[in-house]
Amino acid sequence: MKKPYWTWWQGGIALGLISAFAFLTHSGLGTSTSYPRAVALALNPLVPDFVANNAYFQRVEPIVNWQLMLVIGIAVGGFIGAKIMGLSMGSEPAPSTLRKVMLFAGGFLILFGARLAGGCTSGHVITGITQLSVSSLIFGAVVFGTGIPAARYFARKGWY
Amino acid sequence: MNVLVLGLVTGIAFGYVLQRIGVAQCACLFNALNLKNLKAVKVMATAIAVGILLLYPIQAMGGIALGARTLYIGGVVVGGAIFGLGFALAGLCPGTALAALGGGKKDVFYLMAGALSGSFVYALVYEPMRPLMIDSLNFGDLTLTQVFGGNALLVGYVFAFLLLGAVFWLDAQDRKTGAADEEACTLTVQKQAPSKTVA
Repeated sequence: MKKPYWTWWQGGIALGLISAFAFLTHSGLGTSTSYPRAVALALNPLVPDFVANNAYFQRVEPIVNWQLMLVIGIAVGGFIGAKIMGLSMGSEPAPSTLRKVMLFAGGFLILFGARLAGGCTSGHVITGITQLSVSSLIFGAVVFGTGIPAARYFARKGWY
Repeated sequence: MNVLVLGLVTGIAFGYVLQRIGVAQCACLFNALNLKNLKAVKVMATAIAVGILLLYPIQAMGGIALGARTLYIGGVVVGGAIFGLGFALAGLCPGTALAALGGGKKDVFYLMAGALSGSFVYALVYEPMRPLMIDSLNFGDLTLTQVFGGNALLVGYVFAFLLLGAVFWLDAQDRKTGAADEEACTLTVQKQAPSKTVA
């Protein structure tokens, strides 16, 4: 059984409903804080003094909270979705060295950038713009203002 | 419900929806950023509009306080530019990467290694960067309602309808270029290859 992708409007409505549900039951959707939190949780048993004295880990403490569980849930939901859709899982060819470097560098930059800006696609773009935050509107404009020329450059280089 | 269970359940629904839309496939974003197929953008804008239409009447009745994200120019602009570059390299964001990982994309482990490294390096440089990037040019939790004045429900609804108008305009562009919704998650940027006619 292979199910197709939802259309943009089906997906947009479903995502809007989840965003509203999150606001009403806890807080707006957000994911990126959970990455440094996972780092803090991993480092805490090894180097507790470093974690306790680091100014950022004093803000993002090594605790399990709503958003960390949300982030774990996203992976579970992604698994269920892929199963139901009948997507081939784990069978794609091994990535090229270029692709590995792009993924590592991309991962590094999206987390560094999101933490500096105070949110990512979910926290800033979806949640923040729903709040009509000026900050998130600027973030969204800058992300696409940089991402579009960068992606066109990479496409011309034949990197995709 | 226990708050951790609530987070997990919300996350499962969120991840399921991301996978069903197709944004857990990096091709979806590569196509959007190359202006070949704007499904990812239309989805985001629709989700924001739906959220506003549902939540602002509840806020007006006092059922919820939506709050806002803090505006600090340096960090938001520089962070946004760094994020945009990473977005174009990886084709995934911190949320969709997790849905892709759950969906069995093994190469996302490289992204995760980068993401955790980026988080660690940020924690190291946070304190020295803070005065310039976060504390200066900091305007607090500023919203459009405060900028334009007036009623949050009205400002929100005007914004949501403008956003929906933009979504339908973008959809018309997709129709014009023949970018089909069901092809949004298949990489089409290669088709442009070394053509010089594309502006």
